[in-house]
Amino acid sequence: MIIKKDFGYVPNDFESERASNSYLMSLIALMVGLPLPIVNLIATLIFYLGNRKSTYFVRWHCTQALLSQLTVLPLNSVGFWWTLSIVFDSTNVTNNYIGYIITIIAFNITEFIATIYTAINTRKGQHVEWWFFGDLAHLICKR
Amino acid sequence: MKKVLFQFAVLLGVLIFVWFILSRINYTEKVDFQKLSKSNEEKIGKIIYEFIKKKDKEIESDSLKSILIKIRDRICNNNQINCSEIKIHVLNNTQINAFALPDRHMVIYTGLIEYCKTPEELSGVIAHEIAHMENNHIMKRISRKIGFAILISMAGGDTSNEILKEIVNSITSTAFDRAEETEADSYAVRYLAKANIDPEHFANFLFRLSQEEHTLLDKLEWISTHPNTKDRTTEVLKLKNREDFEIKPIVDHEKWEAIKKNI
Repeated sequence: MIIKKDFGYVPNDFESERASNSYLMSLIALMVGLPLPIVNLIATLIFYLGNRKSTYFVRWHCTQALLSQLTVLPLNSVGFWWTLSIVFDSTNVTNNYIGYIITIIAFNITEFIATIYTAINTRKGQHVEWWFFGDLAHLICKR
Repeated sequence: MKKVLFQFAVLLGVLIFVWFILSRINYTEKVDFQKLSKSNEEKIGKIIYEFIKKKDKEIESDSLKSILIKIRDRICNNNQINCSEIKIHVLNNTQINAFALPDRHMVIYTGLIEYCKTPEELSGVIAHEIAHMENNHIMKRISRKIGFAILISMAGGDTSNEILKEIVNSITSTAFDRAEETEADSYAVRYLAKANIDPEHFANFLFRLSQEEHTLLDKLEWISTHPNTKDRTTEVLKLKNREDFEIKPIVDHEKWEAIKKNI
């Protein structure tokens, strides 16, 4: 699911730090922004826009970080509003709801671990590609 | 591109599959959520009532209690509502006010009883508060005001005077949600009609309050917290005309006046 690949060139220390920060940004924002799922996306988007003119390695990793946050956003938003409707609107707690919450918690934890792993390795100058998100980043981010 | 679309479909499929599998487990049977929230509501209701009782003394008059129970039972029995769960408390306070608390506690101030010309007028207010209970308006209102997390921590015993003041304020003084009030009024008319109590008395009560609003301003807690009394009077009368009922008195006028004198 997460593969270390050759990127074609060895990024310098500055590039590695910037690329690694794009993942850390989403992690910090995730912790600060809970339970509002939009906060981490906005933070990652700001970081992405700020690095649009950066080197390919930095842009590519900012794109991968942003894409991963984009996937989490709709999933968490549904969970967030579903929970609010239960708290304030007398909607019943159903097996579907609990199943959904467990699913998104598992997905978030998986992404959290993957993000930490990627941030550490990217800081070392290694190129880490995620399954699906990596291929999508290649389509969006051109040299 | 095809590869990415395929991967996206697989990712989505995995998520839906995991959700589907996890949803097959019967969590709601294993953990009784209704019971869980019920026990929380019980604790919260008790804490709030104890706090209110510190300020105003509870009136222990048998004749008054018996008539209030009679009204409660008549409304509840004719509307398939569990009577015994509703706990009515009369507190010595000159304010014209009544309100429902979590866990089906209903507080009625002596000021309101003294103001009601007939027991039927009081029945209207009681029916209105029962409607709030039946529609879970109280917990919703408190949650909106102080937040769900604080409610849960309260149920766990973590209460401060500031939070309690805020809750009591939200129940007794803060402006209510217009939609909830309209809903409670419409339920109240239905409850009264089914219990063969003329809802017109409730309309009369509202009308009288709206007329005397300026002279009674400092005592009109119940009315000042509820939106547009004149509109409500008209609405109650309109709803009343849709109902079919046969009027049966609660107690005669002399007895009601005697009870009021004894407070």
